[in-house]
Amino acid sequence: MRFNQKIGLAYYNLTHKAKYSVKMISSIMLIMIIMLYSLLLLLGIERYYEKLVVDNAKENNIYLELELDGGIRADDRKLLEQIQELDGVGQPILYAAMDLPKLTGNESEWYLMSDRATISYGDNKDVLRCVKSDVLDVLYLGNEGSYFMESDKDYFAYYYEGENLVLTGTDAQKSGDVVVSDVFLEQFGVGEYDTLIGERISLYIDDNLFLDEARLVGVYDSRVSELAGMKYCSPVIYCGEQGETDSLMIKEMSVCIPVIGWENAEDINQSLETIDGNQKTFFDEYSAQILVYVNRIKQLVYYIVLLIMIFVIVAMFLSLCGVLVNRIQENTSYYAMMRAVGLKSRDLLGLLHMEQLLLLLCAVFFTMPFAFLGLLLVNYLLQNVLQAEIMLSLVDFVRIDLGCIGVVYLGLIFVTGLFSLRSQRQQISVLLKK
Amino acid sequence: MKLKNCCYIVANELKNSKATFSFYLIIFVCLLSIGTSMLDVSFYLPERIAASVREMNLDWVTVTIRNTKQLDLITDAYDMECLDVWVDEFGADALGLTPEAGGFYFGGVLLETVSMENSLQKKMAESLTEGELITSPEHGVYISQRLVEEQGLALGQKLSLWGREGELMDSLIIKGIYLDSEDLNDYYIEQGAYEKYKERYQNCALQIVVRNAVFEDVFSFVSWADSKQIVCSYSEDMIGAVQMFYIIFAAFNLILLMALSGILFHLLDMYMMQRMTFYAVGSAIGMTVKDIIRILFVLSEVLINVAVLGAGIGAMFLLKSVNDTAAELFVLPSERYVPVAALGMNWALLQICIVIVIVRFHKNLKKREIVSILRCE
Repeated sequence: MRFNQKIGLAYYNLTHKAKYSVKMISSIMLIMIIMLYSLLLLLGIERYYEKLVVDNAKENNIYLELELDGGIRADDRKLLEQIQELDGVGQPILYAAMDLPKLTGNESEWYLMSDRATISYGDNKDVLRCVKSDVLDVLYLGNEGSYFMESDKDYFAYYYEGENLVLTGTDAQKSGDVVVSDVFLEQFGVGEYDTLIGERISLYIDDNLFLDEARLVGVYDSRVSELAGMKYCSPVIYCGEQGETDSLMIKEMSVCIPVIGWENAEDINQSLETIDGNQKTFFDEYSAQILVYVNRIKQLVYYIVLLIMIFVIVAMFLSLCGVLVNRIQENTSYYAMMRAVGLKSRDLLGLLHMEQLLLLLCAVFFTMPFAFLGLLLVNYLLQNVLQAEIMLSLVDFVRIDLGCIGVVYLGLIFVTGLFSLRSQRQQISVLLKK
Repeated sequence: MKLKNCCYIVANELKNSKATFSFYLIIFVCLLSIGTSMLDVSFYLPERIAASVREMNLDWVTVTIRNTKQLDLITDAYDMECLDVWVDEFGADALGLTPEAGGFYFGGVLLETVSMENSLQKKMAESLTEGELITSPEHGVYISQRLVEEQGLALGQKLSLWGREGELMDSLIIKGIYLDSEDLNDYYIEQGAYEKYKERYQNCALQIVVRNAVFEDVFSFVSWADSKQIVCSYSEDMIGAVQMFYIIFAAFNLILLMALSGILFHLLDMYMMQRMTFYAVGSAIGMTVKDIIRILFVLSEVLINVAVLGAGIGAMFLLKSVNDTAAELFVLPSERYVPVAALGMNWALLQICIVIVIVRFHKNLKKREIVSILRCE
């Protein structure tokens, strides 16, 4: 039997058994609407939570200000060590903005522009001069490691759709290494960042040497500083040597200690109170507490929606099976006659599948407006109720739709196959006698 | 037909079509169990979670009040509780104090005539270690233990209240010393002193931390405040998440009830169409339409009531499972109970569905000739 003949016959069968078709279509529609609404809602909640985590993770840190006195003072060092001993805290990041005007003997000025700087690099000491001037700013990193934390990178990747914060090279630094922003290199006419990675560069301000032979290890995306709530990012991040703070006139240093996870926020806050009575340290326990609560609500909603989906879909499929079995039983003689006039079992099964496919397509056609309404409702919930400034896109919608259609189709094929195979095992004459 | 005979026919029907009715019962019990448990969850769980949020003090709203009319407007519209009152510009400078290195002082106002439940005053009265809450013509200030230790202040000592431009605004006597607490500022001046300050600086706004008497009111309160141009800040994430919880339950209950009535309608209709010939034969031998309807009604009632009983047990286990999860996540007590109210509501809904199906079947039966039914036309 040819494909177009199968379609024609399936269409004929369905239009001449309108009641059966209507029942099947309405059952499929109900199943699909429940699946679609549940999945859209779950995806909406997932996106909302993801945004909350990304937005808050970058601030899930313990902050501390250190006053330097020829290096870190003994009591501050002890405090830092005590904090590091707490469970669930990561490696600290020590940093300070350098006072360039003071360091270069230009105290009367508020800031310096990059057109006063030149860069030399490589063995030949090639010189780069500023082609586009902007404020020159250098951040001193007081310990080895990365200035950007994993949460910063996730935050960047979330808002710039999977892009990397570090454009080339690496963000991790050792003493004497330097990481710069793409915009900083562009100010010196460098478009191909890769060529400079690994080179030793020297920074001169007003022709006086400022950074000597620092190894350029990476270039980061300067758009990071455009993101709301992001920590301060200088165009040049220099990882200093031990005891260099005095020569660089750094009197104060900020410490940022990342807290891993949210659940232990209360314990960490209590420990901080015990260690220094929250005098020098700052930790926003409140945000962590909220996130823990929102996560619990999410988990509970997931659990409930999962229960609903399982029960409702099982019940609906049973009901659908009822209609299908009825239909197959009612049409036993019809199928037996078809076999008697030479239709192969395989073609008969194909015909049944074609019928299910047509019914499914019809149900999908009628379900789409309701499903789209579901998308609008979830987006309304996200925008107006949760004020999350995120929306589910049409791509998400189509992906969920296709998934639901696939699952329902497979279910239909399975049920049809199961019941039709049972009747096909019997002799034609036996079936015709019924 | 007598009711006894009607019951006899129903019993026979159930006995002869055991498989069909068992199949229907499984579907009904599945849907009714989940429908009932979810309805019950939506009745009680959001409230329990909201109570837990309330216990953690995460449902506060800070309202910026520039004049007392705005405060009256709020208290007229909502039942509120005042948790704290502070003023941005009341720091260390306002009292002419110098905090220890790297430190700050935050000052508030102890409102006496606030037209809502004043928890701040109660908390203050409980925390006082020296002095007492008294109203006297001389304006006073209440200070924390921290201020006493760091500034060497004592009860009865006089402090000055300074304006933004450094001018003397008032003289304040220390009327009380209270224990440090996370919920309290470093000092509170009396309302009279604040009013005197406000005469000079009319744009000096009070930041009042309030809490709705009923948690659910917080959703409407924030949008109401926005419409009245009252600036307020609150934990949007927390309140949004709880609100989402309420909305999700409402949405799913609606979907579930729709599915439940849809399936019931569908199955009863399917059964009746299947047995049309049987009832037509019955009519041919003298059964009236009324008798047939009565048989169908009894049959449906038997089915529904058995399903409701089964669903009661199913819902009890489902609820236990949901409550256990909620208890684990939110530290709530977990109980096992039969959700009578939700079961009753679902039962009532199913009765309406039965009536609709029977009316429809009645019309169908009256419309068609017995002969045409018997010939399966």
